[in-house]
Amino acid sequence: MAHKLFRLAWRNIWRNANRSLMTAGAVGVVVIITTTFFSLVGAVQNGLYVSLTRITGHLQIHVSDYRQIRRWQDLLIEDAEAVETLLMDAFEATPIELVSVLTVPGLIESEGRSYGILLQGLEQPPAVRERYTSEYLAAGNLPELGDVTGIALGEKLAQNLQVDLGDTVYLYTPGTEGYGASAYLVTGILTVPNSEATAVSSLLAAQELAAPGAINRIELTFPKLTRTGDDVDLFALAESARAGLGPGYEVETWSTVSPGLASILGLFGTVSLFLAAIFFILAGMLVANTVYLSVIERVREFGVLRALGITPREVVLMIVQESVLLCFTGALAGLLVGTLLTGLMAQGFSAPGEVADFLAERGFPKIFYGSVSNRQVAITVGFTFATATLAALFPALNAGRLEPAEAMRFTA
Amino acid sequence: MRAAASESNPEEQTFQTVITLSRLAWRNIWRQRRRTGLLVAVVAYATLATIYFWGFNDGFNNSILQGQARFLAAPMLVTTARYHQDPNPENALPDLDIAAELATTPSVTAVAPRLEFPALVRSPYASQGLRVRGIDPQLEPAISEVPGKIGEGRLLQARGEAIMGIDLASRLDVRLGERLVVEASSLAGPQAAGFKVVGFIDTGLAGVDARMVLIHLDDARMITGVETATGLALQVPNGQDLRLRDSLQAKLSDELVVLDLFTLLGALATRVRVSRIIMLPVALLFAVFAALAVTSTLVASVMERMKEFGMVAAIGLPPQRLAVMVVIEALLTTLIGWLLGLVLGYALIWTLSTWNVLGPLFASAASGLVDTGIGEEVYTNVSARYALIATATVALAGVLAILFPARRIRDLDPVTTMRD
Repeated sequence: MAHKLFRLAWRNIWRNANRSLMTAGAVGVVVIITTTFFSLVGAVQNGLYVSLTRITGHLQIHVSDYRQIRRWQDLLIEDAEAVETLLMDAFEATPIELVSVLTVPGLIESEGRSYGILLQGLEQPPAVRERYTSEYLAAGNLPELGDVTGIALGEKLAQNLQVDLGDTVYLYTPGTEGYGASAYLVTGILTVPNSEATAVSSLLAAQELAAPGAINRIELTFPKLTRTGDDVDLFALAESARAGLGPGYEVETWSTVSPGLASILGLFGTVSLFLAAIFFILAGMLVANTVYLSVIERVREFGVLRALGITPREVVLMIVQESVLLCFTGALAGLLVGTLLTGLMAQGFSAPGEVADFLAERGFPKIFYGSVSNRQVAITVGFTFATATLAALFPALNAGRLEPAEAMRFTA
Repeated sequence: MRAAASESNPEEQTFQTVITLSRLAWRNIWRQRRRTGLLVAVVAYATLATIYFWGFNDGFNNSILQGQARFLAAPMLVTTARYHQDPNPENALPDLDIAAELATTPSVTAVAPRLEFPALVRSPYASQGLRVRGIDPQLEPAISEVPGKIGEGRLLQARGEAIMGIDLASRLDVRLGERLVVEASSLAGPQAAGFKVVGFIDTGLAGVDARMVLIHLDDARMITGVETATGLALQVPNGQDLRLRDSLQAKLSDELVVLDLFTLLGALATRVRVSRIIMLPVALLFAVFAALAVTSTLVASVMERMKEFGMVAAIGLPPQRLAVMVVIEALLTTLIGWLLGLVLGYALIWTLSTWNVLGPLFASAASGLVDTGIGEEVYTNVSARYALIATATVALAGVLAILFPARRIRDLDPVTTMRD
């Protein structure tokens, strides 16, 4: 009897091609759109990951136990060039962006105004410099590599000092090893966080002022890490750095250096769960409505079958078989198209011109990479399947409860 | 449906036809509850979810800004126009008369004077240049979240007391009960004063924990020689700051300005603004999805009734008229669903914008929420704009959906359709 039921189910599917297409289509469309949704959200999260890790770099290197050290001099990494070379050697095979930083607390003065600030002497590779400029520079230019007379001021600091581009400021760093005092020309204005206490110069300028040849921080960014999922690679990379540097240095990942940034990423994960719920409810409705309406109209047909002797249980079985077949086909088709789409998104896509520039100025990458996890795909297919089958079962079960004659007269 | 002999005007005939078809359509809707119910449900949900999505997206980002503002600055701030350009104590407010008037303004729930000045903060072990803020400990808790985030110790109460960010304290190596010296040079010439540290601020925000020092307003006045304050901080309901700015500005003299949250936060706010834009593709995808859901339900509900249509056509209703009737049915049902979705959707976001339901929900889901400095309050935004977006989605879906089935109905052959 089971074999006969299956043949009935099969014929039913082909007998009304439009209805079957609609059911399978609904399942397929839901799978496609939901996986695209996951891929999009994944892309946004990856973009967020890149933008956050660019703030601090993926890894930061300081002297050992730097958090406990009080004296500024004890935080210095004296032979900066040697350390940089060690790191370049350790990562010969991996592309890296290395930023060397010397931060010096000091006093900045203009006509009659003076403020305590933290001077940042930066040496950045061209790609990093370009991104930094695009995101933070509001006017003028960043001091060039090796420029010992130029300085860029935070917006609020420039306001407090009542200076603008082209004006002169004086910097005092008493108790340090360099000149200890120098005059600078304001070449740029920056919109950085904490702009009231930030000034940026070239590394050389800061070194001459306070500590020749020394730095107190190195930031390493790995351009290959473009997705949130790539973050796990950092542990191995940190180990390589430690191995290359030897004792006396502390290598930390970005989430250790800045837990606040890490929690922003986590927060996004929570928000996307909320969004997924909204999507899944809609998905459920789409599938359930389509399938339910398809089956409910056939109650008359079931009535005829019942009158011919088929038991309610067998009617339900037949429906289940039809449903499984159609859902499977639909899900398969949906997965194929969905995989194609998400695969394309995983290659990388950009927003249209102006929007991409706008985002880049806010620290986001120009290219977004979509990503979907296997678990997400499994949940999507499983959910859609279950919903479709349940939606088909309800009317079938109801039909089973009716007398054949009643069923044959049934209107939805 | 032949026209009665007395009818002569063709327009009148068409009108009558439409009325009759509408009545048939209306009856059909209530005759088949299940089908109508499903369509109403999906249209209502599509509308509701669209409204909620946008209200949530906008509101969430606003909540982040509000949260940061309440720690770092204030929802709104009144200063002199010169101070806004040059934040120096010498540009302080001329008098505090305006405070009383602002306090009685309906939407302003609290007013607190603040005196901020650049200073050198010294401990026995280290020193740092910072902006120190003089507050009124009685009034400040109504404006700022900081007094509620004292990790160790307590809020300052009298002159001679100070509180500071916990990371700053660690950097300067200051323990609870130890002394701090604040040096500044302003209208009163070079001044210095010693303070006892009575509490540490722990908010999770670097801008506060690593940089904030609060002393009593009168001490700040003594040090700077300013008799009034550099600014009046105002507490206003969430998201109202921009709306209130113009009406408040009208009350102020020309030399004063009132600043809204975004202006106060500056660069910090832009990162949050980007998040809104970046969600656009997702919103678009949802709109497509919603349209498809409505379409599929409409198509399914019509296609399944083809036998019924065949029969109705066989007893005399011309298929063209039948098609019009079905379109009217779809329109009416969609309208009901859309109205229901609007009412429920706005009820939802209005509730969530008035009561802090989302805050605790997020706090339980994401443990790191505190670190992001959002605070514990998350609200949705309410705007008429969302109704437009939802309507466009549903309308598009409805139009697309009805085109295909309507054609099929119009072209049907009664005999074959009945048999199918």
